[in-house]
Amino acid sequence: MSPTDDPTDHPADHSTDEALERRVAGALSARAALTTVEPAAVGERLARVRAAAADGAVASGPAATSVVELVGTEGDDAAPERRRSRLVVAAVASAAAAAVVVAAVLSAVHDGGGAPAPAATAQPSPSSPSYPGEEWSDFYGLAHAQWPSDLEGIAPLGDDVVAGSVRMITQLGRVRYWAGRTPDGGVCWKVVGPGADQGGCAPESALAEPVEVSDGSVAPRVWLVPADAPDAETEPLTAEGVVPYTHGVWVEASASTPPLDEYAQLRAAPTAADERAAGFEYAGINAIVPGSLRLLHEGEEGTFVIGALPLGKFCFFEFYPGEAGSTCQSPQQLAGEGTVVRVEDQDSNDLATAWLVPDDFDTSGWPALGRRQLAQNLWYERKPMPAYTPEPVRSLTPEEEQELREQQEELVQQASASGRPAPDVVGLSQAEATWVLDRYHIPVTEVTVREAGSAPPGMVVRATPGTDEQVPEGTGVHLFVAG
Amino acid sequence: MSAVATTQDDDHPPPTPATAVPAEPVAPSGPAFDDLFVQRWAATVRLALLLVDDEPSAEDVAQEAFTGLLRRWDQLGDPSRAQSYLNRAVVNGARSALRRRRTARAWTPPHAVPGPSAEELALLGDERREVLAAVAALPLRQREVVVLRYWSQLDEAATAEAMGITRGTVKSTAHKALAALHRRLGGPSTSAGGLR
Repeated sequence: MSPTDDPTDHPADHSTDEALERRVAGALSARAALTTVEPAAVGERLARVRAAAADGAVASGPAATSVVELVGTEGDDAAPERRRSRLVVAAVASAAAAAVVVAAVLSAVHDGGGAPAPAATAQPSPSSPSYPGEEWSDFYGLAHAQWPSDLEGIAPLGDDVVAGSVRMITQLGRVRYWAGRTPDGGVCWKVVGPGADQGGCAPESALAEPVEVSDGSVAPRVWLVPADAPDAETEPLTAEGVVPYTHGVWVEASASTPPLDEYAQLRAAPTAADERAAGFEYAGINAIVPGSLRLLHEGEEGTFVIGALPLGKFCFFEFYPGEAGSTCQSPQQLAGEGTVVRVEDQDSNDLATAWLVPDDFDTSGWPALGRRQLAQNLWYERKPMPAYTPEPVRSLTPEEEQELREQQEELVQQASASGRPAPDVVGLSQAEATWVLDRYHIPVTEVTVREAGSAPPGMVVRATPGTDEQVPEGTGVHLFVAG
Repeated sequence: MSAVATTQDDDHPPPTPATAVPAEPVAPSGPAFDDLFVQRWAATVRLALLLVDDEPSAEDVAQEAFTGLLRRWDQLGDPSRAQSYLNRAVVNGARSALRRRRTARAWTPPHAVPGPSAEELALLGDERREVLAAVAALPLRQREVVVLRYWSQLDEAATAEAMGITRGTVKSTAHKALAALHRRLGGPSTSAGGLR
């Protein structure tokens, strides 16, 4: 291979790398050389290619408008099959992994259910990552400290996983999906809900591509999708109506609904105050599921409004005189991590956080933590900002240096790309998505109506750039709408 | 998710948007395509072989790639783009083949998964068999990077184009692949630089 031009690399390491590179190149060349091609076979293949190309060309036709209708995939001989990469399927690729599957399925028989595990069991193992959730860095919607909803998954997943790695992937309706990492980097999952109780494991290599979190019999279908998965890998999911939910988690759009019945404030009939909240002007408020908007609290802390999005997330709106803010998150995040809200007194160094919790959420220890209930389903805390303590200075390891260099490159690329991050519009109608994007001053540059499995017609099933990705100045967002 | 707006099906990558699909059948291309086919058929099969393991699948993937190329031959503009198109089409075709095979693996014992025959393995020798087994055990994307960099001799940009990912992802994927190969093959841990 070509020698490096990077002055920070170490010569001794190069010799190691280059020796390995030579071994790999040699082995690949030897393997490839075993394939021989007869001249007559080339002619026959050429004839087949010409015939196939002629067939395909006749079938194609022009698209006349800027709204492109994609009704199928030309030449996709896999179409009749359900293209999926279930964890269970991937697991049987090796005998050792298959044994783990058996162990996991057996352990799943004694389902721990919904009782939260004792906090002590959630302590990181000796091989724990350097920050909470690091083992999920390729699925960064799960790369956070453990929330109560995560702890509930420890008992059902059993001893095969590192307790500190367990995360709730999502809860859709009454079906809950958890996953945890095994000590050797593999993954085990567990799905529990009405009519669903199953689990399985797979080696780490399975997580390099999208994988389904169930054996395919559970609805809604949920997939783990690594952050850098190319469009070629996620396109089949879109074609089946599986859409991005949080970073790293995709869900079946048609079966994902907001859990309104788990919140007393949302079950109650709208009041006059709620009607007033509907008149507030802020990005996202137009996209709220009709009838789900509630004014939770109005007081010195601010005016807090909640509303549900079609796929099951909640938008938390905060209003102050002349100011407003909002965040749309999963119910698990709003109950587990809460959302930082503005502090009325700008001179203070305080941090205020609000939590939206379902009715059965255990908040018994919260008053002792300084949290207070502002309203049904709404808790609040205001405390001084934690003091910043710099870490002691030390030398970086070569691996840390490399990681830092890559992060710096990404940051430079992001900083140099003038633009703004795209909001989450998947799950909305085209009109709602356009309205939300307009509030962010981002135009819709193209709309593609396409096949999207069971997704409701008219729903935005994909947007590029995606949520939180940079939209360069002068460009816009391409919406893909279920046809 | 790509930051580039697109209407294409990346499993079968057209180099032009769907709006530019021709209304008429593709005109028969001249000797240029035939020459390219004769020159590149074997290499294209071999590239596919290193990604899907068995020769029949590799030939199917290569045939699909050339078929797609021929359909778009007149839109290609610059004939030098043909190789880039073939690389991308082979990678995507291999992914599709492996996706289908993975479904089949639910019923198939691991030893029955297509791969080199016993005779082929014997010809390779222990050392190369060990390396090839380590490459085959890599996650798909890492395997693609290794094959494209070390067998196809593509640089970082061309590898990124073939795989439909960014150069940064190529770099980090290559780094992980080399580290995994080091671990598997018993060599010292990899340097911070990895592939360049």
